[in-house]
Amino acid sequence: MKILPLAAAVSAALMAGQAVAVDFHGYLRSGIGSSGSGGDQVPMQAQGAASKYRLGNETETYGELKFGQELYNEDGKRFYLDTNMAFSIDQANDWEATDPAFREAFVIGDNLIESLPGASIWAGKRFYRRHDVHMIDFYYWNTSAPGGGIENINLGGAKMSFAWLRNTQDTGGNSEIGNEWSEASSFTGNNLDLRFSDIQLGNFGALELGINYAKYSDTDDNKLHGDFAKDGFLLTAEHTLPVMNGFNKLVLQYASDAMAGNGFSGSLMGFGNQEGMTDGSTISKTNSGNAWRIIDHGAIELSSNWEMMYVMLYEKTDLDDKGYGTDNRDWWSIGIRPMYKWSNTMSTLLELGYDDVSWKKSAISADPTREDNSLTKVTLAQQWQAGPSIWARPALRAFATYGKNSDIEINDGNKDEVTFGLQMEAWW
Amino acid sequence: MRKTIQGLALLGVLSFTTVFVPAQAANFSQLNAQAITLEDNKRTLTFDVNTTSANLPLGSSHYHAFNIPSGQYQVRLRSNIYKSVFAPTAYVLDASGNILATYGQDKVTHQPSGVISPDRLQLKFDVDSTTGAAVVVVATSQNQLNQTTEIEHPARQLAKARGNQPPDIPNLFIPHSQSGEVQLKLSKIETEVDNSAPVLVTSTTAAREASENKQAIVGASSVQPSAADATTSSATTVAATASASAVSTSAQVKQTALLPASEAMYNQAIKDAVNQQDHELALQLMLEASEHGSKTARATYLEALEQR
Repeated sequence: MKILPLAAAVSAALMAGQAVAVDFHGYLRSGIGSSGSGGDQVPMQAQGAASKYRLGNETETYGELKFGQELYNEDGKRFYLDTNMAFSIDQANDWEATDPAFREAFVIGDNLIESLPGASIWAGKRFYRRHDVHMIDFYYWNTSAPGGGIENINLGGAKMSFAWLRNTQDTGGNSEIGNEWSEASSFTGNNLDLRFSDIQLGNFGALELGINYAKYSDTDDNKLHGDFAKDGFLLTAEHTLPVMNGFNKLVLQYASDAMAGNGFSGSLMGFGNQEGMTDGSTISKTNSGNAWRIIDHGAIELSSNWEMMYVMLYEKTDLDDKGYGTDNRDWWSIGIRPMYKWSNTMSTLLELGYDDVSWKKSAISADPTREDNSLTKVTLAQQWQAGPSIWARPALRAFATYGKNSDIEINDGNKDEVTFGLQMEAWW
Repeated sequence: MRKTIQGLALLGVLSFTTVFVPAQAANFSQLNAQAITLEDNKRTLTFDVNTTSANLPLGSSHYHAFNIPSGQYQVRLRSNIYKSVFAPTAYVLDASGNILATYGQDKVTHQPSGVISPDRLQLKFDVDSTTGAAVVVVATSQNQLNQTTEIEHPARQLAKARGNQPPDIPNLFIPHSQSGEVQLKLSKIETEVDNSAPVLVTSTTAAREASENKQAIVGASSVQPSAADATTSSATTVAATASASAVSTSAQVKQTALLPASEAMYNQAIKDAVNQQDHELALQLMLEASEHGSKTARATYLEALEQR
């Protein structure tokens, strides 16, 4: 008689201890679209703009599949492993082969250092504290890379995070970037990332401040040409104000030298190569100088039936022209995305966006196909989504988009175009 | 992350006393008469201005009543959290309209959003027709209407799903409403297990499957049937209560949490018993501790067995 309850209890206890659950997170968007003048859906983006207004304006299938698991959790000490496999395909056919990108593979350990309660240490490839403007899919502070560091050290009044991240830049086979016509194909760079977050300002929101310093690590055999800056930094200040059941973020960024290329976001982007020489060869760009940007963006609830996303952005690059030409341009952008909710699961969205790009002379000399241009884009979408929030997903939407460029052809000889289609978007 | 605000809960309790209306037996037998019979053990209950309302013991509310099928069932009520949420309270009645059990806000749990579901409130409990339970009334309470549910801001949820830095903004407080939708689901509790059948002591798949088929749990309850009394509901009134024929199941709601000191005492006693090779005692201690809400007794017991 003894064996039965014992057996029962043991197996019950085993069952309790063997709860194996893999966390599944991710993101996915896909759909179908067409252009009014025929052919596949064309994306509407101003030449020289680092982003585009995304609603009804995404023409590819993109996904991120994240599998993670807690590996250990005792006395507040916790280890968590996370991965992220991402892919992007054209959504042109049934069978579309792809080489997925392994974007994340890291372990993070919480409360492991007794003297730093609440802090976490981590190592591996990781999306590192990324900041973005959702409606234009623009990551303005994104140092994601292989790395390691310590996060959320409580300083009392602020939390400090420090990371060492790897940036390696391809020369694109351009021998001029390397010294003495060497065959350098890439240069390794190191990025040091220091942030102070959770600086609470009482009723005036919260502040996050950061500095990234990055430097190419060349060797005797693989030297960067003397004309190129070896290092650079990015300063970021972000203010977040909770407002109208949502938030407003004001962001200021200043980048120098090797961090200051167009679309700068905190990673080394000092040199590239580009088409543009009249003889068809490629030239390298200079990478000393600076760039800065100001963004105000947010998502707010206007009433129980209305929500809205918005963004205002201005960015200016001012690199030194050392005879290679530059990417210098001014870019500004403004847009709104109001949403009217008919019910908890159905809504109508309008997205109105305007981008304007002015190239500097040195940029046009580097690439004569460049033209000053502005793009107006408007999208109307009927959407069904899982909940009455502008962030609720999954969403299914039917959209019609109109875009008009002031100077550059969008599709089929026309400077304006209508596209329409169906799209799904999910995150979980 | 998802907590109900304690302060408002307290407020709710206070105001509860002012709106308390004693239930009348006639009232409840009337509810019984209105009870619907579920066809496939599932139903979406809609609460709005067109829904019948009554003065129930925990406050006036729109309500739906349904008949409990013959047998033991786990009742699951789920309410999606949108701009507001209907927080469910359930009354279990016998055939004469006496309240056998009440499941209120303290039994409601928050389920975070997942791949296919938004944030939601959930209320789970067991009913057993053999104890006289005949009807379940689903409603909300004044206490619940005075509370809010805190959910993580969806912008933060998105940021986490995408590996972004969540914006530094507060959580949302969702008001509880008289209106809403509640998903009702009844699941039959399997009890027909041959307790005399041998169960292997092993960590193999077979053992796990056996345990998942509730053999382990039911077997366990046969050792300590009286412990089940402690976990049956807080019957508010009269009549035959569930304790008359105690039935413990895996889905039984644990109502009490052990004091940390008691939990530690149980764990020490379990270890001692295992070390002295008194398996009967160790097992009973483990079961007793678990029935009283210990979350560590099982692990302690297993660990002690492994270490010996």
